[in-house]
Amino acid sequence: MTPYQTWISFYTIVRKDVLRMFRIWAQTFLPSIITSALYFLVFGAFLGSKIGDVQGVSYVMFVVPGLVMLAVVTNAYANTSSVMFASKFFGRNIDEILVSPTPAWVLVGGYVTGGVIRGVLVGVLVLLVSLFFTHLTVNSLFVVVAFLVLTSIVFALAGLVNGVYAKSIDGINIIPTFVLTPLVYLGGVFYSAEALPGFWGTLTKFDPVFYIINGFRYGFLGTSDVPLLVSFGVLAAFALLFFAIAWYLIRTGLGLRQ
Amino acid sequence: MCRAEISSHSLARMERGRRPSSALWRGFGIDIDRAAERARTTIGLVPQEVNMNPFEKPLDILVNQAGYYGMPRSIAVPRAEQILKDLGLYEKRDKPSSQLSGGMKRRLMIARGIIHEPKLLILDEPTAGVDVELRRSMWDYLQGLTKKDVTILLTTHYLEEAEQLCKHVAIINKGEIVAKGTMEEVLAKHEGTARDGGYRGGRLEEVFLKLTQNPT
Repeated sequence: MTPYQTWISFYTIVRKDVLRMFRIWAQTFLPSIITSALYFLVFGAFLGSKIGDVQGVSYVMFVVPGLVMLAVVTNAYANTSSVMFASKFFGRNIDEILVSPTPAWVLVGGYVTGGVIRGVLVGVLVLLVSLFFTHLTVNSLFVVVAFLVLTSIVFALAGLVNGVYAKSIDGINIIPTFVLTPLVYLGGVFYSAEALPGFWGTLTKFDPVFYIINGFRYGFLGTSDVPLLVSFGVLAAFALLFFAIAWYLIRTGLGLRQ
Repeated sequence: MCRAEISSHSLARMERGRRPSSALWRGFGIDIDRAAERARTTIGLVPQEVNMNPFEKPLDILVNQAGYYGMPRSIAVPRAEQILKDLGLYEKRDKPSSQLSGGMKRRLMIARGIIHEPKLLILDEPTAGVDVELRRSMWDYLQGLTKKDVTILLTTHYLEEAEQLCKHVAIINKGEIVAKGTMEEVLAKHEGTARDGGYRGGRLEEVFLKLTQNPT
């Protein structure tokens, strides 16, 4: 394919996905808005007043970055895993791309771009919702945007890998429920790792999401449990890991050609 | 009309996007091992099983498929509309594909297979379970394509239609080609000694039975 034809194919994949996510907005955008509004209400307005300040800011402001990341992670992941799984399992319409001259890396790039668009859009929507509950302070817009986009890329890639390997619908639900959600909740969404006693504090430091949330939080508050560069390093390492897995999938034809 | 020098196994491989044997592409002057991408642009594939997104609309299915071949929407939309008109699907262009009848889904898969104007169209049992009227209109349409220099390769269990439509034929029995050549050559194997009584098919059917049935 010429570069122009490759671009058309990439654009076709992304356009189709974006139209789909807007058509079913009640399944793609609305759930995160509602759940985060509930979190802000419970933890910010009701519990927050009892808890007081954390790291020098109100408790609701402290949980905002973590709850935004929770939405970004789950949405970027759900988008690629569900789209990939549905197109190979239900309609088998993944064949439409597989019989075409579209290279595998364009397929991966297109699906991941769709996941990133959803992740970033939902992240921005949850931030907008948070404005009803707190004043947002932004320390570094660059750090905020960089973490939004990089985190979306990492989890969109991870979701794609999950979607490719899943053999049944359970296969794309097990990992978000039993791996992703615990990682995010124990990654310091609701508390500073300093507040945890020895063992749990140490355990938290093995959670990659902890570094992502702290880096993102630094973008708002200018404070963090770990240095910003460490957070960036962990995120970059995960991006590289999943790029490597995706590259392996591409080399092997995604394992989708039966 | 049809050239059948390919095993059903190769056909099944291609439906899942894998490479068939390189021999097939020599006729088109393409070395498939070196230019797999270019080879893909020259073939259109219509599988036996329906493989479409049930929520997607016919017009979108065609325009997106064209997109995967690198065709911009400005060219793909009018072309898709014309093909939908030719195949009698234009009225259904904005209905989810799951709402189409079985025959319409088959025609839509043919439309999808030709949206990028392939030189070789491969049809895996296109008329299985299709009613008489639709089958005839489908053949008229496909014969029209052959006049535009599209080579059509198809598998079918309806040997009478193969006998009437195809220039070349190969008979596959248990994965092995047991006879191949032009239709005249294969029909020449017919000795005119069909069984008496009961149902009688065309000459090709008699040849087929003779070649595939174990002597009892």
